[in-house]
Amino acid sequence: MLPLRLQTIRWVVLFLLLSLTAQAQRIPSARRQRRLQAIEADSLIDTRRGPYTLVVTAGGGLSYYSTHLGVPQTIDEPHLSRFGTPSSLRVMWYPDHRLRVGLETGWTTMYSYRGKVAGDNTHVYVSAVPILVVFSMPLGWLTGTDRSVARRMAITAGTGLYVNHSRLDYQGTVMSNTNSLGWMAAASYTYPIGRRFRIAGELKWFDAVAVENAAFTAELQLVWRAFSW
Amino acid sequence: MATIQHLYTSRTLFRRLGWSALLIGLTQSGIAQSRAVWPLQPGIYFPQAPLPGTWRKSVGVVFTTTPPELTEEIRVSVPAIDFNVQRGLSKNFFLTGRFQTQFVQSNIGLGFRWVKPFTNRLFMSAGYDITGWLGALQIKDVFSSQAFGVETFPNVSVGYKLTRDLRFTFRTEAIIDLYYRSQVGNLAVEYNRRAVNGVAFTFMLEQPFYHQRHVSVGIRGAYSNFNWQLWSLFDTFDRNLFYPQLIFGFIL
Amino acid sequence: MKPIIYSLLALLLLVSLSCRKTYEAPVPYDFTNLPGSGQFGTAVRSVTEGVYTVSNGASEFGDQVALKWTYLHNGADTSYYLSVFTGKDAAYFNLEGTPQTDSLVLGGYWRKLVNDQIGLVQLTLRVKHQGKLQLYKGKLASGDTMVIDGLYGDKNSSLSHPITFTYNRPLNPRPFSIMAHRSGGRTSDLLPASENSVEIIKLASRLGATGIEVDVRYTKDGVPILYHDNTLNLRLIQKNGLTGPVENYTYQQLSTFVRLINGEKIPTLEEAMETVVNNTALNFVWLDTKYIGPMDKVQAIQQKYRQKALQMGRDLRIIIGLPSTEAVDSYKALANKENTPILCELDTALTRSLGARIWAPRWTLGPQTAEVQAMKADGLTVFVWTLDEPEFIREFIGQNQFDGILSNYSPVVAFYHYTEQP
Repeated sequence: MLPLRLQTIRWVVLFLLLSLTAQAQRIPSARRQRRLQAIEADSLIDTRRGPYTLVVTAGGGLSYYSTHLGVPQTIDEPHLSRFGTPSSLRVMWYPDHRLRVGLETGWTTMYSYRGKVAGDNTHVYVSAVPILVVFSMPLGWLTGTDRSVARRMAITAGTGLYVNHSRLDYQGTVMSNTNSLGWMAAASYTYPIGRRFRIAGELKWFDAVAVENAAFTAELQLVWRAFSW
Repeated sequence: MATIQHLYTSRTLFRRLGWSALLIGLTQSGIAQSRAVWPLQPGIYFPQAPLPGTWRKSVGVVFTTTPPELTEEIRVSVPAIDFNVQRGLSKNFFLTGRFQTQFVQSNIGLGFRWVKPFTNRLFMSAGYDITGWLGALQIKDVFSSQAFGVETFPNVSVGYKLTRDLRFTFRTEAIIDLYYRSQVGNLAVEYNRRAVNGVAFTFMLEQPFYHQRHVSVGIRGAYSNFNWQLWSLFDTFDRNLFYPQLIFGFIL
Repeated sequence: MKPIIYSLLALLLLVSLSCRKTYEAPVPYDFTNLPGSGQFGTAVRSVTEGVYTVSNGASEFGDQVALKWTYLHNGADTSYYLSVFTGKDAAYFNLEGTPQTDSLVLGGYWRKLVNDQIGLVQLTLRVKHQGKLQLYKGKLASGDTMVIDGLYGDKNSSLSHPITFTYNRPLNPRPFSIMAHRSGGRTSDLLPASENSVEIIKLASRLGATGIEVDVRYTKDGVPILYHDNTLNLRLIQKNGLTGPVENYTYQQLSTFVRLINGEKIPTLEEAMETVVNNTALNFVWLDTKYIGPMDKVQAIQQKYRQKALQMGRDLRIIIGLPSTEAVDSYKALANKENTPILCELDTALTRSLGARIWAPRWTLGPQTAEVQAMKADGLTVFVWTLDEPEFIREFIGQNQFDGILSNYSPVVAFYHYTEQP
């Protein structure tokens, strides 16, 4: 499990650094000059702020359970499934700088298995509802235009609670929940389709640490810039 | 060393590529520095001294996740209020102060940093902090206990201005115990030994958040066999346990 | 220069992201569990028990140790084990007699509970007779001194380091209850058996315990079982996908799907008590009430095994622990509770009002000298729980006012108790 996590983190960090390298070599456009001045707060007194926006993102896709499975040895003829169809909902505050903050929830299948015990059918299904505080940053901010790839790409990371759900079907049905601390990391590409709407593709890693459930998800998302002030 | 061995013995081409690409990426990122002088921005973790005679302050929160070896099935992220204050003494030397509290237990630290700028984007600092912590619990039928201790943290920070608005800091600290005393009722235990207790790594981003308000957002992973916030559990393990922390602070 | 800095930074980042280290301490020795005592008959076992001074090996295990024999019944057979309790890093030795004919040799392993250090050990019984060291053949003349020496290894090496114990004095004879928490010790201490398992009950005596505390819960279908935590979680069980309170599942479901961290089944309380009565020499069982609800099934089991132990000629005390007001209410609701011994963890007034014979406050309240003396003056037994910090164990035993200590580190309690000099 750990090598796979490291691999994911490694590529995300590489991606960020290469993008920032490219950014650093560009001359800031005139459109970004004011924002640049605004961040240089030590040398400039600027009482004006940029627009704040509330952004709602909803999406769904495919997930793959990416850590070790635990199937009891008492189960005969076990059949496993690591795939699921996750959905997510995120509400973010976009202030007038690069860093964004918000809340994410959703639902994702972790894994399931079925088999037999002394001739009786059994089925175990594991899923999770994340409730996370997330931070997000576009790779490009001070430079480039809305069309530049770096400005459309963002990395997101968060931490919080996973409500882990299990359903057991064997000599009756038992549905139970356990909370677990955990984290997530994601990379996304957002494409504008209107003044207030975007679509986005996001690759995401969910990790509910205490229950050792982790899933890699790929989602298609609708991004709605709901409210600005 | 284990990591280096792992790097060269990995059987997976993809994994090898990942390592190599990351190193190349980091290198390239450094080469792409501009020659312009970049403005001084508010920061608490970035290894750049405040202007001589000026203060830097921050207030925030640190969430520490408890290790299962100590809190067992109750795995929570415990918040602590976190104040930082720094004062520039010269262009490359400044003092630091930090106060963390959870009301029933608190930690106060003092230290200094000596800064070495390498380029207009790359900075390093070496520092030394000494902290004192104190906790007391009086709960009917549960606790009549208090404890305090002193720890010290020699540290090195590397800071890199990724862009004009975004600064990355990596800090590594040794955690050294100097003194520990705990008391239950009228019985006390005292340890007066200097022992390396563990090590901690911090990854911090500092940047403007909204309007002119700057923030520090990052994570710190401590591998240590004692953590002052969990003194009341009277940890007996001689093992380095993992204490991940989420750090968020508003720079005032 | 720059590439070196960045490469170093990247390596540091990746090393630090390696996150939580997994600790393990697999036992390197296979016990033969041979029935009978072999050459280690009653007389030999008797003369080898005691407090010994450590010469070789003192830096690893401290300057004195306590040696004590225990046994395990298996049907008509009995296996004997020698334990060594040390005052350093909660280390203990678990040894058995080996079937060598020319000398009295013990084989086994040592372990430090505070970390994951473990290794093999082999010791030979010798005697210092008129200043000369010779093999011990079962007879000890006046003026002779028992010397037990040999070699120990560590995780990565076979037997390579010398170790020598020289007899100093007998074990402290004062009656004292050394109670092992969670049937023997915590899973997080990397013991060879899981907490609250049948296997760790069989190990408890070798860890120094004279009694055990077990955590009792009910399954959905009302079977009393041993389980500590509120939920199924990976601290205690192997991964199987199931979550939530253990009370949500029937015994059959748990028995089929759940295995404790070392592969054992969750035992029923009856299985645990059968093990205590039939296999061990333990003299005290503390049934900790982790459930909320009727106590009658636990009361019935308590009475059944008390009678069974009496029929076997054993004075086994089985008491029900009341850690909360809910448990007190459950106890008050029992019929015929007069003959049900209880232990109260709450305040002294409530303990007295319930007629409990044992008061057990938390150790974090301190020695509470006045309260303890008052309770003892009223004829109550006083224990303290759950005390693991070795220095505080030493201080509490030195206070000499408690009748017993509940601990995850029963080897440490055993060491400080047996080496205490009146």
